[in-house]
Order: sequence, then structure tokens, then C-alpha cells
Amino acid sequence: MSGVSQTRIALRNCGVIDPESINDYIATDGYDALAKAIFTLTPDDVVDIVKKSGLRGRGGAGFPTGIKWETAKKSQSDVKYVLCNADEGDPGAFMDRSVLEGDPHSVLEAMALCGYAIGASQGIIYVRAEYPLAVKRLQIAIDQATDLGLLGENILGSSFSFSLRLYFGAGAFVCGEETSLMNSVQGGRGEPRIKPPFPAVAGLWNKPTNINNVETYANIAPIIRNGWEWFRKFGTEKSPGTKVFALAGKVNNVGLVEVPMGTPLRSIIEGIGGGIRNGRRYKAVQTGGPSGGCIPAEHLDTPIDYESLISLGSMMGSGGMIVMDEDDCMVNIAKFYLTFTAEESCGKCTPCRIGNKRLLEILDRITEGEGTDNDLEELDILGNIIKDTALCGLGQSSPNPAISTLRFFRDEYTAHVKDKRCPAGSCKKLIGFKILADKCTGCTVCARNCPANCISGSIKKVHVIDQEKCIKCGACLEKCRFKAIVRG
Amino acid sequence: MPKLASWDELKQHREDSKSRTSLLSPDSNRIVLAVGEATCGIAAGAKEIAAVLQSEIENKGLENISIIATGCYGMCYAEPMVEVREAGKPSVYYGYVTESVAKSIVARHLVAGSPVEENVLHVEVQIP
Amino acid sequence: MVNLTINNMKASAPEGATILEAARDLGVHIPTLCHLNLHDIKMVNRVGTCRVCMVEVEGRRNLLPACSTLATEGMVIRTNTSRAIRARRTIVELLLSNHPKECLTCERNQNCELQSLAAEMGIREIKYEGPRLKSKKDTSSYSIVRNSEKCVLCRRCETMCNEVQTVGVYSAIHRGFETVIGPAFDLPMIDTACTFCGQCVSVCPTGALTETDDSADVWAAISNPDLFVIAQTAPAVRVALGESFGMPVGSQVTGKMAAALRKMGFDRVLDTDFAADLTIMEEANEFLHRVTHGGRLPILTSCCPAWVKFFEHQFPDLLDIPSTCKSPHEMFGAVAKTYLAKKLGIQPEKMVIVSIMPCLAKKFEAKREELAGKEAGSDVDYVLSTRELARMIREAGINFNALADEEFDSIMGESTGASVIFGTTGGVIEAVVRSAAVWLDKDNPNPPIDFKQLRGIEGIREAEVKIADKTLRIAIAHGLGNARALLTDIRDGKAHYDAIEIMACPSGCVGGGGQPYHGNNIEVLKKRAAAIYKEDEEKTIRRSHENKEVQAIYEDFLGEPYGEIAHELLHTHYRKRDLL
Repeated sequence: MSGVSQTRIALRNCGVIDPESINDYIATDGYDALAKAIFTLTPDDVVDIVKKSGLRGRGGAGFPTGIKWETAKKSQSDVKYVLCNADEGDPGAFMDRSVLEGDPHSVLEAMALCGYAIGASQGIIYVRAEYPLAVKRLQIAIDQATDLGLLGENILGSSFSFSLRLYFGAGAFVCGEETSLMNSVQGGRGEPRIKPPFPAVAGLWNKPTNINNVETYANIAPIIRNGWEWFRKFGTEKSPGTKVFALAGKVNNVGLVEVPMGTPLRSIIEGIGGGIRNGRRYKAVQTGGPSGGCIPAEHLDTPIDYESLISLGSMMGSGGMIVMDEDDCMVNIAKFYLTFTAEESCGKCTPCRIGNKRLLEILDRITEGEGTDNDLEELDILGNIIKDTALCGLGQSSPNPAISTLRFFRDEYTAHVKDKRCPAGSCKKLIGFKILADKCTGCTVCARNCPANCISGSIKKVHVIDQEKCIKCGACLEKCRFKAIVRG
Repeated sequence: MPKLASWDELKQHREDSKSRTSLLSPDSNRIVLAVGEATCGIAAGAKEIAAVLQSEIENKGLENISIIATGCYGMCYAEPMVEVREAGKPSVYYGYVTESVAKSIVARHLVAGSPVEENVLHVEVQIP
Repeated sequence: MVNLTINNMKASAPEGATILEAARDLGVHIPTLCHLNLHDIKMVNRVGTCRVCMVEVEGRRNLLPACSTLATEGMVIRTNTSRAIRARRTIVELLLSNHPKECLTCERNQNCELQSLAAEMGIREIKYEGPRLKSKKDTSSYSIVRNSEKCVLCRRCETMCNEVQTVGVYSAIHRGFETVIGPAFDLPMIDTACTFCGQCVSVCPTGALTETDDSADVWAAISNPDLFVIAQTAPAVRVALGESFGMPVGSQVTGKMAAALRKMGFDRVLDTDFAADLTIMEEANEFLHRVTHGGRLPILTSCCPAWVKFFEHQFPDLLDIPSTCKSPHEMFGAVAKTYLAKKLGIQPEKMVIVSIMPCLAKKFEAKREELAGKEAGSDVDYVLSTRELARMIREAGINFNALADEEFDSIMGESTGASVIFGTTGGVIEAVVRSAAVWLDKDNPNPPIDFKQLRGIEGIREAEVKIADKTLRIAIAHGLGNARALLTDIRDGKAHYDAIEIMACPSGCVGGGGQPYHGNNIEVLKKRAAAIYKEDEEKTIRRSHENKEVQAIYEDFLGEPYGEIAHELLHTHYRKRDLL
């Protein structure tokens, strides 16, 4: 992967150490930051360092981590909690899983640091039950750290105590939303709460709670060990540090990358990702998971940071990055993501429960060739009202894929509505195949491969597709050796 | 294991660990074969590759070689991946490792001492 | 106090007030749907789910729900921008797009908060029509019908059931568009720990939760010449029925009600209050029996069927402390089909007892196996709620407001002030004490009759009543959450009382689940209670044991109070029930 260098902070130990060995972690300076904090820093110092580092939440919204910690520290309570959001649920995103599987102790150490900073002695990692390996390695890590006295009572002989346990998510996407996650831990239904009060004031069991995601925590120990000034050398003024992205879709090199904030999208996709597969043309990159938007080619030089992505109608999200090429229909992509969020909506508030369903119906109509000009208008209006009125982050961002594709790929929508045509050739109701008489040799391959038996013609005679029976699978197009079959 | 009761004990433990872990101290004469065994690697067949490496090493009677599992290298497209770590030399990363590639790594890289060039991925990993 | 600006008007609001409250104080109306604040009975639904009350707040990216956003210092709020109005309207349109447009045939027609909202916003077309959620009606219980298709997920029923009543039947199930509110695993209501108190129905803004309608069966019975159909009416009905005919809240319509029932064709129009007096005789004697025979104290009242089902599920280890007395309307049925049937020369199996109740749990109670009749069928054959009676009166074309007052028939139509106050919290125990004050202090020529220390709206009240040299330790709870707190203390040995009155519904029967909708106004319940006490004061006889017809029934038929025949007809037993 020439040309673009990655900078590994969160992933510093992934692919380096044996994640099931605490000695490996300790040998790479593991738990040194915790010891440093306990023996040489006050809780205020720790909060101050995190604040000055400018670290922002890596789970999606980009809220300054230090301010969260400071609020939780200032909240008066006998009991406080440290939570880790490891309920990574965006389709195609696996940053947190990699950290948990490759370097579980980095999360444990950071949570203990947070406990020390805010005055909490209990922590819970909310991890998806669908991540069995992560669960296993986390449990091994917790046991090892507890055995060594790096978790539990009187850590390293000090007066600071901090214990950790796992809680398994049962697969609801909305439980990645922090207040839903807390309801879930409490044994309730995964549904968001009204904010304020924020978790740092009244969170789990209504006690002050600091909640960060896996990647955020993975940055903490290096910041404490190396200082905030060191961290600020990476990234941009407003978004210091690095960000891990899960690069997927139509690029040559899919995988996990960690780059400094401010790296242009193009460097990731064309550099690290090695460009688009099969020599096709880049169309868009979808960032921010189901809540994000699609970014077209003309914005490929945008530096990646929280603000730039939002200005493009997308968002940082947790770091999913799905690359699309010219064969992807943007209306269909919007429909795919909205189907996901509509299904995963908890159903609590009206705009998300009913609004997203109606929005999806509009997209359905468009992809089936039944859309109207009015549908395009309503898509935008209704989408923005849902964003404006939904209760939690899921609903407030669920229309993003639809709104952003409408913004950047309006001509594709118009083609569906006006010409009843899907330019990418992916909406089944809007595509058709025909055989060019001057190119057909009558070899019969297409007829033999048609699963619907809808191609007729005898040997050495021009073949014909029965459009009524055609199921638009495209098998004939693939099999024809004479380029005699075309879309249209 | 007794609990570490001070920062000094942690520091001592760190020094003790360095020779015992998969991370090689500069004077080590061990070779470490690290296999990417995150879910992605396992799904691509990393566990089978690790087993092949193990049996090849045993068959050839090689000593001072340990095989460890590590996390995700980030290059999902190239899984399964194997890394050869030798003290004093840059790590060599192999991608798209099949059973026959694994056998070649043992035969050519470990025994004969020359990397299996056709399967080497050039990766810069910068640890700040 | 915090200072803020609403629609360019300066306002101040107390610390902790919501935008909605601040706006109301200023005379600015913001529409709401899920929001409900019945502070006096701790029913506060501030969940912010419907999003009908969205307003613009300067500096905030999104619109905010006025019902659940606290007013803060310097806040600048606009409730009437086109952005806010359009959003609110769209929300209501979305709700309507998923709502059966069956207003004409809906139980809540003209009495539906969603309908009112649509009217208020002048919605004439629904832009985003689409398929509606399909769901089967749950008619498994005898009391409550659950129709999820009409549910707007305001979660009021859930808050009422889980937080106020602590029964915990409802929660959201499924997700996304399929989300409905229902029992765990979508169990039929009859298989749950539901007490059928009907408070969920009382707060439901739409027709999603309604009472089971038994009016057709009652009409059929009335029109069958072979049957002798008797109506009996509970005390709380007469102070609420008038509301259904546009009369002021707190109107006493006892006479009009008797006249209407007669016009409807009931063969006898009698009074459950008679049986309430009978209940006092039995319960007071059961209490004395426990005291003299070392029985378990406290004694708990058992007139409320929702409360009975509640303790069967929740406190199965305490089944020996509630009184074994049947509830008054069941006692009425039991003696009607024996004593009255003989007196009138009617075969018990031809007799149909219809109870008019403020209650939905009575519908379930009437079907209990333990309350099968001695002679024929059940003690009580049909139970109608106050709302059903109002509908039937209207259906019969009776001009209720113009009716001249009539009396109940005799016998079993006479009642005392003591029985009237059964209809409100504290009334049953006050009725007991009125008689006890006479019995325990035989030398007092002027025994007291009003025990105002037992009245009030506090959820849990306690009082010591001194009679001669004795002190009765009394507690009163209304609302099942309060009952649970009291019972838990008793089970833990933290509280010691002689007698306890418990009513499942907040405020007692005046706030019953079968009463006319209170329109989210707690003052309605207070005015009904006041009317009850007024009716009591207007009675010449105000102690149960002085009821002449009650005295006669013991003389002619029952023998001793708490005696053998009484035991067979007027007492029952309880069973342990599972929790779910």
C-alpha cells in the first residue's frame, strides 16, 4: 500500500501482540499509563490531559471526551459508572471488533483510567453477543488483569479500586445509542431516554456515568503516557488524532485503516484502498453507517474530520466507509440503509416509527418506477422533518442516506421518476435486456442459461427475449460471448 | 499469580515479560510466527494455516520457533496473514497464505532463510 | 425562577418547569398528545414519544418537545414558526396515516384526543398514506379490549400500569413500525397479572383500550319476557353519570338514574348501596371475630375486585388477611337470587342481575368460579360500566336531563349514608368506624358520625380513631402502587394496623376505570368525591346497621351476621395466582 502511511494509535497493538496474553500488553508499556496516573497524577490532572488532547468521541457524534469526563467527575454521587459502548452495529463496520479482538487490555486500562478520573469504581463493557471472539478475549483480559491486581481492589497497592464486567447486547442496533444501551443494561427495553439529563449527570441506574466507545478508550492510554501535546501532533486543530476506518465495498484493498484526521478521502480510497475494483469508475463513498450520507467524486479531496463530513450531509459515524462504483444505484443504496434503520427503529417516537416507514415507501415507489415529481419533493421534506423531530440519534440521522443521495445524485432519481430508468442498471423493475439482431449469432447459450426460459430462437437464428417473462437476472448478458445482449 | 503491589513491581514484570512474550528482545534468537487470528483471519482460514505451520515445524524438527495468534492486521483482503519476526530484521508479512504457501514459508523462509517473495506484502507499520 | 422568551413575550417559570408549563402559564397553547400530568395521583407521563409538541428553541439544531424539555434561563422559544407548525402537523398526519379511520364506529368517537388534535390542526388530507399496522384485537378478558391498531404509543397505559399501579402488564413489544404496547410475549390479557382496574383505559387517548361492551346482552335480557331483570347501581355511578349528559361535574343524578333504568325496562331498579350496608355488617363482625378469636390482623377490605386480583398475584402469602366478604354487588346478587327471589316468587334461574358499576374489574369478578351462584348461574350475570349505561340510555332515546327524580324499588333499595361513601377512598373504613363507634361505646348518647381524618386524596393515609377506651389503628391506600407499599411494610413487620381499606383506583371508585372519561383533569375526581359526601350528608340514616331493610334481612333470612347462612352466601375465598 504505497504512498499513504497509516498512523496507528488505537490499533497500535493489533497485529502486534498476542491479545490473550497480558504479558504481551505489559511488555508494550501496557498499564503504565494507569500506574502513572494513580501514582503521579490527580483525577483532575487526568481529566485535564484528556480535555487538552482534544480527543473527540469516535463512536459517531464527536463530542469532546474530556468534557464528558469532566461533567461526570463534577457530578456528585456515591456511585458512578464507567461504560464502554462495544455495541458496534453499523453494517460493514468492524473497527471496534478489531480492537477488542486484537488489544482488549487497551480498553480495560482506559476504563480504569476513566474510573480514576471521575471517581468510579465499577465499569461495564456492553459488547455484542454476536462478537464471540471479542467476548472471549475480553473476559480473558479481565480475568488476567484482575489476577495481576491491575483491576479489582487496591490496584497496584494503591487506594484506587476498579472492577469490570461484561454485559452482552442482544442484537438491537438502537442499543448503540447510549441511553438505550443503559436501559438495556438495566434489564429494560432498548429505548432511548430524553436528554437532558445526560448520562454524565444521570446515566446507568440514574447515577453519573461516563460512556465512550471502544476506539475512544483505545486512544486514552497513549494520551496519558505521552501527553496531550503528543496527541495533538496528529490530525487537525479541531479533530486531533487519528481515526480508524473500515474500508469496504468496491475497492481493491478492503480492510481496516487508521489515518490522521484531515487525511483526504481520496488518499484512503485510491491510496490505501488501491482504487476501484475491476477498473470501474468511482461513484460515491458512504460514511457514517446507516446514519451517514454518500459523498460523490467531486468531494473526494475533502479532508476527513467531523465538521467537513457533516457539511457534506454525512457524518464521521463510527468509521464505516463503503465505496460504491457506477453499478450501484444510489436510490437503491438509500433504500437499503433506510430499510435497515426502519427495521431497527425502537418504535418509541412517531417520526422514526411511522415517518421512516413512509419515507421507505416513497423510495420503494421510485425504485419500482412508480415515483412522481412530488415524491422527490416529499422525500426531502419528510426526511428533514424526521431529522428535526426524532427523539434520538438514530431517528435524527436515519434520513441522511436518502437526503444526501438526493442532493448529490438527483439526476439518478430523476431518471427513475421521469424516464422510468435506472442508470446503474440495478433496480429490477426498471431494467430490461434486449438482443441486438446484428450481433446475435444464434449460438443458443443465452437461451440455455436463462433460468426463466424466456429466450426463444433456434440455432443460428436471432434470439428474442420475452419481456413479460423476463425476471431481469442478467444471466444472459453475462453468458453472451458476442456482446449481443444489452441493457435497455 | 501474585498480585502486583506497586508501580515498581509492574515495571519489573514488564522487564521479565519481554523475554517471554511474542515481542522479541533485540538479542533473542527465537523466531516468532504471528498469525492474524481476529474473526476476519479465522474466517479466511487462519487457524488451519497455524496448524499447518505447527506440523511443518515439527516435521522439520525446527527449534526456537513459536507460533502466536495476534489480532487484525487490517488487510482483510489479504487474509489469512502470517508475519515472520526475527530479532534485528524487519518483519516480513505474508498475505493470501494457503496451505502450500504456509509450507513454503517454513521450507524457504525458516529453513533456507530466504522469504517467499511472491507472497510478501510490503507494509509499513509505524508505531509511534 | 428562570427567565425566558416565548414568542417574543417575556416569561418566567419556576425551576424545573417544562417549556409546555411555562407556555401555558403565559397563555400560549402548544398541542400535546402523549403528555399527561395527573400530579395528585403520581401519574406523570413525560416520555416525549409522540413529538406533537415540537417547538423551536434558539441555538438548538433540532426542534424540541415542549412537554419534556425543561425551561432554562435565557431560553428563546418560538412555538408558532412555520417550521414548528409544519413539523407538528406532519407528526399528526403520520399518526393518522397509521390509524384506522373508523371514527364513526369507534367507541371514542367525539371523545378522542387524536380526533380532537386532527380537528384542531384542520387536517384535511394525509400526505403520507401507506399500509397500516395490522394487529388482532385482544378480547380475551371480560373487562378490557385491546386494539393495537388504534394505539398511538403514547405509553400512558404503560406508565399508569407500571409506575402508578405497579402491576407491570404493559411494555413495548416488537420494534420499528411493528411496535405495539402489550403484555410480555403478547400474551392474551386474561393470562396476565392484569387486575382489570381499567386505569389504562381511563388514560388512553384513543380507542386502543376500551371496556368490553356487554350492552347487547343486557338489552337481550331486558327484552326477553321470560326473564326478571334487576338493575343494581354502585354508589360512584350516581355522581358521575350526569357528566355523560353534559351536566356539571359533581352533579348528583341518583333520582334520574333510577328513572332512566326503569324506562329502559328493568323489572326492578335496586341499589348496590343496600349491599354495601350488608357488607359493613359482615366485615365489622368478621373483624370483631378475629379480635376475639386471635385471628390475624390487620383486616383488609375486599370490596375492590382489582385489589383482590392484585393481592392474589402479588401477595399470595398474605391471602389470609383480607376480609372474606364478597364485594357488595356480589352479596347483592347472592341474596337477590335467594331471599328476594323467594319473596317475589320468582325462580332464581329466571332472575338476571345486572350491576351498573364505575369499574371494569367487576366484569371479570362476576365470572369468577368462586362467585358462581348458590341457586342459579352466577351471583351477578352482567356488569355494565357507567359509560355503557350512558350509551344505553342515549340509545333508548331517553332524555336523561329532563327526567323527574324517582326512588329505588323496595326491598333491597334502601341505603344509608355509610354505604354511599363506599364510592370514594376512605369511605368503606369510615362506614365501618361509624358502626363501631356505636357498638363499642354503648354508653355514648351521641356517638360521632363524621370521621374526617379518614378522608382526603393522599395516596396512603393513616389515622388512629379513639372509641371509648379503645384505639383503632387504621390505614387507607388507593392506587395499587400505594397498596403495594403498604402491604410490603406489613409483610416486613414495619407497619401495624387493625384495619386497612384499599381501593385499586386512584381516588377510589369515583375514579374507576368504567367512569366517564375525566379528560385528564384530576379536579373531576375531587368533585365527584365531594358529591359523594354531599349525598351522605343528605341521608337521614347514615349508619349501616340502622338500615331497616338490612335489619329485616337478618331477622327474616340470614340470622346472625357472620353466621352460617351469611358465610355461605356472603363470603368467599381467594386463590394464589402466578405472576405474568
